[in-house]
Amino acid sequence: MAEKKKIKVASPQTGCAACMPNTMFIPLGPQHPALKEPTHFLIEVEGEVIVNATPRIGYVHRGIEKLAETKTYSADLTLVERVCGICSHVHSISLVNAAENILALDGFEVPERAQFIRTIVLELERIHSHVLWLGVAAHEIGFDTLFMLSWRDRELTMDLLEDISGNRVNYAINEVGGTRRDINQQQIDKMLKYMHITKERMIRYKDICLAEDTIRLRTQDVGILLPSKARELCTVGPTARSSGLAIDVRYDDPYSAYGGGLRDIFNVITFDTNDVFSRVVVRILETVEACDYIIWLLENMPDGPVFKKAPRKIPEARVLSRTEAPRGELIHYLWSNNTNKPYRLKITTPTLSNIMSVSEMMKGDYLADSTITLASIDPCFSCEDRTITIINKDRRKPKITNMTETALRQYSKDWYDANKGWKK
Amino acid sequence: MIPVVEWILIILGILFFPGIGFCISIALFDEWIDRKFYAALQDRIGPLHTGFKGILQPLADFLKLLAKEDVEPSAADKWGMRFTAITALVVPLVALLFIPIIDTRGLLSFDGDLLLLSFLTTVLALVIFLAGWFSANRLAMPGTMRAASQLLSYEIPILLAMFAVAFRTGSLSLGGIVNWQLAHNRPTLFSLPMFFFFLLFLLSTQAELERSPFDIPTAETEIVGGWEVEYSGKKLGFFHLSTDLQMVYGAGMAVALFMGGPTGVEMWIPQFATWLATGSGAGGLLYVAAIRIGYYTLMFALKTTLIVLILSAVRALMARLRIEQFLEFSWKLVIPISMGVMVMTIFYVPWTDQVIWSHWEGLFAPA
Repeated sequence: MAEKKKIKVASPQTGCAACMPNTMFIPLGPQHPALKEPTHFLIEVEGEVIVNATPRIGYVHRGIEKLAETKTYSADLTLVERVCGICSHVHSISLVNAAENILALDGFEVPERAQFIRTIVLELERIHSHVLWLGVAAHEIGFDTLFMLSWRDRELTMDLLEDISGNRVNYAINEVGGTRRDINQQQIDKMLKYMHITKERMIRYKDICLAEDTIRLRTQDVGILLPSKARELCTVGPTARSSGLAIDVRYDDPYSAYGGGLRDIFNVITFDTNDVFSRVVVRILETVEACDYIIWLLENMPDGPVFKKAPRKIPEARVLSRTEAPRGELIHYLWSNNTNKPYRLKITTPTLSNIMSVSEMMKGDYLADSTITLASIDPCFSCEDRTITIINKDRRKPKITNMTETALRQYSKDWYDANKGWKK
Repeated sequence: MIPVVEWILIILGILFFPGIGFCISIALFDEWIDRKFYAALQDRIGPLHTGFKGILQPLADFLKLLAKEDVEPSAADKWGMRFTAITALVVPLVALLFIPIIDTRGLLSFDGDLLLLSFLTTVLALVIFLAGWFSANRLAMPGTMRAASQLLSYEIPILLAMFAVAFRTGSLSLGGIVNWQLAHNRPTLFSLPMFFFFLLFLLSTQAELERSPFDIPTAETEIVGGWEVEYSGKKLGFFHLSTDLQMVYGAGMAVALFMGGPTGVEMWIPQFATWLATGSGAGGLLYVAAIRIGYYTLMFALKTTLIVLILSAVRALMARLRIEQFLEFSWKLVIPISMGVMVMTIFYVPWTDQVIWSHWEGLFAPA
């Protein structure tokens, strides 16, 4: 296991009086070419070395959870797919699992074939998300050729997703009780062919990343997150796995079709260098694995219907549904009240779990590495932002107010009364 | 006393051919070549619509930038920004007048112009430093500092390469160096230490042009374009054109120093060289002079394009280094080795002259 190599910097407290105010604040975001979505890091640098980094989130709060309470489950599936543009399917899987788990108490069963199709789409989504990330990371370290080539190869997966679901981004293939579309033999053949090509290319990219000197120079010993720290900061997904923690909801708590024969061939990919390089390797290897899983799923696809009509009303229950999104563990907490609309839906996305670890990774690194470090957790800020942060006047120090659920409801009621919102 | 006609010719030469007009054209052409080749390496298409396969795209980009709004931050030194933008355009244009393009000597060539050129190279880097400094931006400052530290690292290899050639050929002017290569029937490249210096020169040129893997001062994803973050409109257009001109200048220097300048096959065909020589000078034949100029220009364009292709390939092949990695690479590896090769050259070159190259030259000697 690699030792944590950090550059020693004179902190303002311990440094000599003459060299004390040598730090400078550099804002990373909200608007920055390295960020695809708005977030803010206030980076304190001493020359080129980062002393401290303070995250500030909440720029793209969209009120999706509140909106979900006003819609039926069927419409909510469409809504939660819009939480994230890249891992859209996993959100709908998560909500569907929550609803179906409640229905299962009354003996409702989802057809096996539907579970297989869902899992195939999940893994295709993982491939396209990871390859997209690989391109973005390559762009962050200035390796545009890898960026262009990996995105070219991602098109195969996108074509498959379009082929089986009709859409490239929000697949809309889920319904409570099954899937909306079946896949035929022609599509299976095409998928098998494309998956073999994708797997071959991913293995080639792995070889490139392991052998290319400039990639190694830019990613090794950068953004180190030790396993103990990773556990302490509750990191999830590939970020945790690249710190050596074998955490994967697909294996630990199987859902959809991960539980059956797939669990026997399932590998939880970990790597132990704890740096950005480790995250690159883990993601590429996971893509290779995902190709294998899809091939297995296609070869063992059961026959039968893909949809079974479910009752409109979901009995009263509270369910916590965990799924493994491409970025890590995704949690949907559903509180149903025997109507056709959820009483409360709470979503926690993996980026929220991982964002705190970025500050830890950045400390002691060079400013040039800040963007690749931030990108290494594969952040998705519009998924993450579902808290309201009240900001002080000087706009530097966020003051976060914790509200209880009752207080929050009272606040929202007052707000709507005052603003004459939807409550007419 | 120089006659008036010659004065007019020189002024026309500076303004149009092979001066400012020609240099800007070839700079834009080389940018197109660079973009097309870079795109091909990445499995893209590159510029496509403006002109034949997008050949006018760099010009269109430049004209578009000229028409755009020019924003100057209130905290910035406005006259400083304007001054640096213009200087960045003028300096490479001046330097290009010393590069041999239509003759074995440059338009304004004189004995010892290599020293002036080495000075101009440094001024260019200084202009970049000032450009970042004047713009008073928090993201420009790291870029400026990076540009300054990068300057210190590539200037020494570039100077070493230039003076290694000067040492080899015994001349401190580009014209003298090209003539030496013509007289000795070979480019300076045809020798082991000189080939090393050729590679070194290309690498340093890549660093001077701030292209990947040395695009550290303008790293877009790290410091939002570095020193050029506050420049927009005309000034940005000037800086971009300046980069293209620097690319031609760097390629032209490499061609003149190592690849025989604008000369071509006449190195090995003495009869052709003698015939071409009848076109030069005051009493030369006019049609031979025209063919000679066309031939030299073509050779120059071909060779610079070759260099640009090499530079593009390097750009596509690597990720960006960090500044301290670049400094380490430069100070711990490149500079000591090139010093060593320089010392080796002093002993090795006279020996090879005696053993190998005298026979080589004998092959082409007029019977």
